[in-house]
Amino acid sequence: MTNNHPFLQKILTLASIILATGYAASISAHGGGATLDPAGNKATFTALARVTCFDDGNGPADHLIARIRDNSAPVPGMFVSLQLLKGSKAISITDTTPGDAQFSPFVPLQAGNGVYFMMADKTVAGARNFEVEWHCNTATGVHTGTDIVVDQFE
Amino acid sequence: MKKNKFKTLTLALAAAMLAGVGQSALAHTRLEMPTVTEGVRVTNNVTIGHGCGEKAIIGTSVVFPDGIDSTITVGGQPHNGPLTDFVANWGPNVQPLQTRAVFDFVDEKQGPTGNVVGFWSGGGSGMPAHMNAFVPFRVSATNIEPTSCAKSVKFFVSIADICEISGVDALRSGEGEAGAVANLWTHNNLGTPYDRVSTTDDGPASLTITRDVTKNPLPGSCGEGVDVEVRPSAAQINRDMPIKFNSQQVWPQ
Repeated sequence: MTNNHPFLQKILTLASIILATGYAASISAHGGGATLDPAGNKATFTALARVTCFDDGNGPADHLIARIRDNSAPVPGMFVSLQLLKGSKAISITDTTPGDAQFSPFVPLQAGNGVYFMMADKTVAGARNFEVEWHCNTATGVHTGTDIVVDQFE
Repeated sequence: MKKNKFKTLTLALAAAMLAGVGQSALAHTRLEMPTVTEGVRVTNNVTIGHGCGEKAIIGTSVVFPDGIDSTITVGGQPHNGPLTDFVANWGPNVQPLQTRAVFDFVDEKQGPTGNVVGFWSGGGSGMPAHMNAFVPFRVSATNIEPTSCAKSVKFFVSIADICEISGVDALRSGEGEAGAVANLWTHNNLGTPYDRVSTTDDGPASLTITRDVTKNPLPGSCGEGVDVEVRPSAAQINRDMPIKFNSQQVWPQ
């Protein structure tokens, strides 16, 4: 029993630290942000993820929609883009007004239930803080099962 | 008459308790739902079977194969290709669920790209040695690759049920489930400090994803299909089995 106390005490101490500082990085269920090319020297930096669309009780997925926002200040020739791909279908969107509060428009890819690839990349070397939002919807636009795994961030 | 009834009841209770002790001593830590159909999201539980002898469980560490450097077998034979040959979206696809029913804290374990590769729970009074306990988590919808011949994919889940905080060297030096510092529900042959001390590889729990042959029929060339198994690498176990809290390792110490 005495061995339990240091464990609990340490965790309690660390928990209070996390609670005090952890809110800086907020991530919602189907949205998230990060920094592409944090070292600022890799034009080819690409983030790759797989989004799974499935029936969570709201109905089978008809399409995936996604949008992107470049939060960094404008740099001439620098743009951040988002691509969706499934099977033989693909679509892309670019945030053409970096640094403002607006996301790009949503782009849809209609490919039913299953696994979609989602990529984010940019035109030239330089760190870009960005956010992405993605949702799987039914044919009537109702949100349905959406999950994600990240494959690459380099 | 009343005295006899009381005696009978007492004997029955004693027998039930003894039977219960015998049962729990045999219960390995496993998943409540070891088999899940592809394409659906379900709630599951790690079911802790018993303490370390008479010592309570004060925490648990759970690791799923990440599918990146995992060992894959097909029908028992090694497969050198990637897991995406058989599973379209393994991340792994698990997410711990918040609860304070058994332990006070729970958190994710994340791999290099931020995917959840397991979870831990600990703190509080924990689970008395003679009880069973649930540690809940969610399994996301997992899809079997339509072009593959996989009819099932089995992921071996490595679990350490902790009874005392110890150094890593003490994990395998105890007396197994009869009073050690931890119960290791892990592979016995990876060559890690977390390997179960056992002559057979009977430690890990498992999660099997089965193909939905109605929605995702086997290609015609597959025959009856194949069973795929996925085991974690030693490197992943060494990386992911420790419990880290705010980037600081708290177990093993």
